[in-house]
Amino acid sequence: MGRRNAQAYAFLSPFLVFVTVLYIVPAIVTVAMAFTNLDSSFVWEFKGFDNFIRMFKDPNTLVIARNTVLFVGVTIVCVVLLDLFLAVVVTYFIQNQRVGEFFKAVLMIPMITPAVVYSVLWIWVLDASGSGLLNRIAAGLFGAAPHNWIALYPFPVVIIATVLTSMAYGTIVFSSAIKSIPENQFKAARVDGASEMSIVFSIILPNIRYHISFIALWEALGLLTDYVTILLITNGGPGIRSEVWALSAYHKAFVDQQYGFGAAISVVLIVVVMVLMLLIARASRRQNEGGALQ
Amino acid sequence: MKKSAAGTLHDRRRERNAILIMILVSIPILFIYLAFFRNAFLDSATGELTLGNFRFLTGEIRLSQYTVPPMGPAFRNSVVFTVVVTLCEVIISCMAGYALARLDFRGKKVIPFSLLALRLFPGMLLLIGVLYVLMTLKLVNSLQGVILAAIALRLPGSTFIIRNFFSAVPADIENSALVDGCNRLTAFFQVVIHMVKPGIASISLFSFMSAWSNYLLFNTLIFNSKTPVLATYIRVLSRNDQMIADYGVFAAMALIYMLPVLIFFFISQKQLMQGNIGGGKGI
Repeated sequence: MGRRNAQAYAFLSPFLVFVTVLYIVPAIVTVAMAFTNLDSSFVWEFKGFDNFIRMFKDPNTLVIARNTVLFVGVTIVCVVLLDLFLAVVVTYFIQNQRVGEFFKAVLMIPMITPAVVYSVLWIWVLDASGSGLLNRIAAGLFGAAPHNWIALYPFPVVIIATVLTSMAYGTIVFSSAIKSIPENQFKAARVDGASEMSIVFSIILPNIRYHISFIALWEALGLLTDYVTILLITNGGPGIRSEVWALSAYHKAFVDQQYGFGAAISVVLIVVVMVLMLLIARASRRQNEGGALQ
Repeated sequence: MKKSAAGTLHDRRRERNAILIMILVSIPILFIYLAFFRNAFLDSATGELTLGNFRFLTGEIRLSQYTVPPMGPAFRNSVVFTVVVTLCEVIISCMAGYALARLDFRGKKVIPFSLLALRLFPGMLLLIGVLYVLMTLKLVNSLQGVILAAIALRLPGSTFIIRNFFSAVPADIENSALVDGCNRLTAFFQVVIHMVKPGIASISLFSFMSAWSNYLLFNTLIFNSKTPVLATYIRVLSRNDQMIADYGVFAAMALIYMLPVLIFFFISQKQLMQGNIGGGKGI
């Protein structure tokens, strides 16, 4: 056993070193920092729960929490509904595989676009001057004066931009789930004279229900923690109108250099994320069991 | 799921409507991208077709009062970063995935569970801690530091994926190689590694895409502009009023930046569509 152990750990050691030094140690450091008032001078001074008390007393916290819930909630509902609609259309109604694949590829374009380019695309579309795409279209159609769209509607803008990058993943997952539904279920329904609508609701949706809960949770996790799109398009502004929880941790730590306070904000989110992770692990186990049953 | 080859007239009409719906969905996406990248080929003053916006490829360019720094260093850093991260990630995760799928060792029960937890856990929440560790190791503000962080944060995801591929290789194949005089190491490199090529292709693809597009790690772990990569180079320019007024040059740069991604995308669409896009987003 000794030799086998050595052999296995020889294969594992690079992985273990990397993950320990730059994943697990940072996790411990982040949690520890949350209880200090560490700033750019990097002097460790433990302050107990000061950061958390400060967080709950800050009137902005409530606004940011509400923004986060609204952002995650609205985006998930939009993404899951869109995913279901697109997956059914692309996989069930379009029988021609190659045509379906082509449309899926188009949906994936926003997902594969580097975040920096993607954000400029939106900034250009919504440009406040007359040269922005939307302003040109509005002027052409209604003769409207140019609007500063991002300043006027920061929240809808980040939601739409996020929905567009998120929708491809769920569509692909649902699409392959629909493909794996046994054909005889559809045949039986057609023999019974079921309409297409009832096939969608009584065969497709029940068959992929675990995939739906998996995607909803997976998106929730992503939306709670991935703030790059918002950072690059509105940077949380104007004011804090589109600031979300993860982005505020970034702002506090990396812009204001209040590392301790930023870490405390992250830790609150980490607790939420842990709960979500447990739910995801359960959902993906069910999804796999559901898949094995078919 | 297949219907009978000869669909009824009703079926075909429904398919036509479905295609119509998808065209309506696709048009805005394609329109925005094409309209944006069209700027790259138009002279912003005259509106004529030109390749002048690509002058930055050969040297620095002047826009009324602002001199755009040459793209070269950023491009080189991006290439180095992407190649090193992808290579290391593939090699290290293959070694770990193989050990987890095939070898017996003490602690074998604990690691897969923690792997799943780490794979789901969003590493972005730990950037403050990563920054501190890199500072302690005196690696902050350097390309090496960001490379190490990028590898570490993506390793659990890719190891998780490749482990499943290794588990699917029949043990008999490897055992017969061992009987034929290979040791674990030669069996690994001569036999087993060839059986998981699709898995390797898939993790290198995701690794490439995420490394090439990564912005956040450079933004948080590098404080000066001495080590630009394409993501930060383009971002800095996009916040410059002069540049934003001249979307032509900007669109040309964005196009060059996106070109490798698009090429990879067309080569490997199938893999991307298999739905096992793992490892979380953003990092």
